[in-house]
Amino acid sequence: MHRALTFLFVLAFASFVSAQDPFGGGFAPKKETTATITPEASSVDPGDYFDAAFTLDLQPHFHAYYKNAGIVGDPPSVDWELPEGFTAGELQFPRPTAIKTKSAGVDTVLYGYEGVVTFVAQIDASENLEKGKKFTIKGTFNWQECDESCIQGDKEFAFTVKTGDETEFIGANEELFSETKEKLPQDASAWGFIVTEKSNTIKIEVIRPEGVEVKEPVYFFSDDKQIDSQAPQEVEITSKKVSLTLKRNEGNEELYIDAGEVGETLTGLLTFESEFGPASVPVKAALTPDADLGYVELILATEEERKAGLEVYDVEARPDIVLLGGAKEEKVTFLSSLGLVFLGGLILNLMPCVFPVLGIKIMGFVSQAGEDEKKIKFHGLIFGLGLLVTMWILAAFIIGLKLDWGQQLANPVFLGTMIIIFFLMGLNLYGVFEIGTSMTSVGGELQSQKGYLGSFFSGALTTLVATPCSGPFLGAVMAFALSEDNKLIQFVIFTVFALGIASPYIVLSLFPSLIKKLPRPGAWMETFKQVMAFFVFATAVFFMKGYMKLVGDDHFNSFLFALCLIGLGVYIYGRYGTPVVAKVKRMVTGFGLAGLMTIGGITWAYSTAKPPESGLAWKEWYPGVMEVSRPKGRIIWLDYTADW
Amino acid sequence: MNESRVFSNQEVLDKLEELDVLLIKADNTNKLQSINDDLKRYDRANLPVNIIAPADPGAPVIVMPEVFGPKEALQALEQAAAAKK
Repeated sequence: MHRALTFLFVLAFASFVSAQDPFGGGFAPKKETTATITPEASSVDPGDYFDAAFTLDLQPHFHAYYKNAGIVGDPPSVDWELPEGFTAGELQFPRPTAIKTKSAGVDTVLYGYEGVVTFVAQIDASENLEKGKKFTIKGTFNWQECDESCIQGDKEFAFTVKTGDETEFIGANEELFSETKEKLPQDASAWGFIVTEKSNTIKIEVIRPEGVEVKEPVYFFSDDKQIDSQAPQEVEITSKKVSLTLKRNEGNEELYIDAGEVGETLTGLLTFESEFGPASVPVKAALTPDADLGYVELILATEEERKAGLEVYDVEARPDIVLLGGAKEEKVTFLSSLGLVFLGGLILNLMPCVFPVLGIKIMGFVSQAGEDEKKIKFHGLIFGLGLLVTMWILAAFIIGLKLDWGQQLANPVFLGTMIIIFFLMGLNLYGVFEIGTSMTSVGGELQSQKGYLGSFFSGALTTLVATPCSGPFLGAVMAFALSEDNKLIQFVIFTVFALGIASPYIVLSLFPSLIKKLPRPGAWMETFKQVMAFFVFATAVFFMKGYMKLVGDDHFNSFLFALCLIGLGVYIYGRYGTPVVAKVKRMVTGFGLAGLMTIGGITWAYSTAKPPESGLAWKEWYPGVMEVSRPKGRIIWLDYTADW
Repeated sequence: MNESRVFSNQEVLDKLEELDVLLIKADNTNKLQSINDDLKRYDRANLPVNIIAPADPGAPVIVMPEVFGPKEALQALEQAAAAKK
């Protein structure tokens, strides 16, 4: 750094000398550099803004600098003296040029401007300003202009602006502002930039918006000084993308340039020739070190690619498929799939997410065992009916919305909710807290009803709990069901699946003698309940695996802490929220504090339900992309996914 | 989704680079008919579906299991690299 300072000192000294002898050439008087400051508006509506232009008309052979001078040099700046209620934004720099010059006999590239150049700053008027008043905006505009040597220039300025109902632009200045704004960078939101670095070579891949032309000359002006300003830039333009190969700025002793500070992002300005003349877009992109693969952004398919794809695409064509390990895929036929679906439903009762419910249901049967046998049969059948109806509603929903079966399992919010529900259910079963007098679960009041309605809702609950478990379990079969266009067949499949789940209960109801073999209610039930709590916890753990995969380690870790908070919340509710506790304490601690902790925990948990950042360059899918890409002889990884 | 685990694994990343694998993503968050139809070509309806096509254009494509980890991903890439018609 001190080297640069020394250099600046030398330059300043040189400029002092040159300033002493402005007519040193002895020819006709040189044109002097002039600076003009122009406000865009005469009056501003409080809450609105206007621009101020700073125009430099530079003397011949002199240049002013871009925000990164490329060499040692100072960009223009403004020292503002603003009345209260006004704020000024950063000076905006128009598109610069890479000027080739000689500095101390060495070929040099600097980033700057020659001739006439206008910088712009935005001035905001606070909405609290009183209307109908006059304000004076003052300041000093500073710049450095150089040829072989440098001069520091400054210009004091002052203009007045009124506050009024409307922002009134000054007609005479409109042309200056419209011309100036054309030279400022465009909006970059439709552009994509992938920046990677390997052994001090930085590559920018530019994905331009559809229909935008990019022609040479293309040049990247580094704002953060990470790019070597003196090294030539390699530019490659294809129909798909524009790539620039740049050199990292490792410092330049000859020109006293310091090495650029290594950052996680790369900022700068990409200039190019567009259909409508010279243009520029700001670049701000993550800089991925040590990577050949492009990172982060999705490379959009172009119009030509889509067209080419559609020409060769046949939606009916069935590509040959092998499974991992080389096995041929077995086709699932309709009948065998029905058998599988039934079996799947039956086995589902043993899955960790349903098994506890099975236990609870059996207890329901036990408590009714003393009653009329006919009634028990009815209960069993109505339980089955509840299961069926819910399955039908669910099927209608799935078919109607074209949801796919395992999708819920890929939805972090859904999975997180399931884990929290099972966690709370487990705590409830263990006796940490009670909801009313109900000892059962989610269905609460409805489910604990003794009547037929109670059995019906038990069946409904079983379906709801069983559904997500079947996702991975019956994936292939359900895919088959949904690939059937016949809605009736789809319903048959779902019905058979529901019957599979319901069969143990129905069998128990039809042969009540089996129920009699079940133990009578008693003190063992409390033990059973508490043991069941651990099965429910196991269910929560079962879901956690999927959740962890969805949200990544860090989010998952936060989620576990959130669970602890929720657990503590409901514990406090269970401890202090009971009628035995004095009313004030019950309200403040038992409900207030406990509620706050539980809701806080749930909110926290919800905030973790998002996927971790992943970072490879993925090309966008379009119909026929396989047909177009495969002849190129590259291995293709095609990932069908969704952000659920 | 297996993606976070698979595509953050260094071995998998290295393999993808070594084999110069073309990565294509079909994002069906918005339930596009075209993507659903395309999935049917592979007899699939559930997401996520991962399909790996060997470099030999005539070789059959590999359909990944619904749940897989880095190990299976590497295995599949090897299989794709070795596949001939």
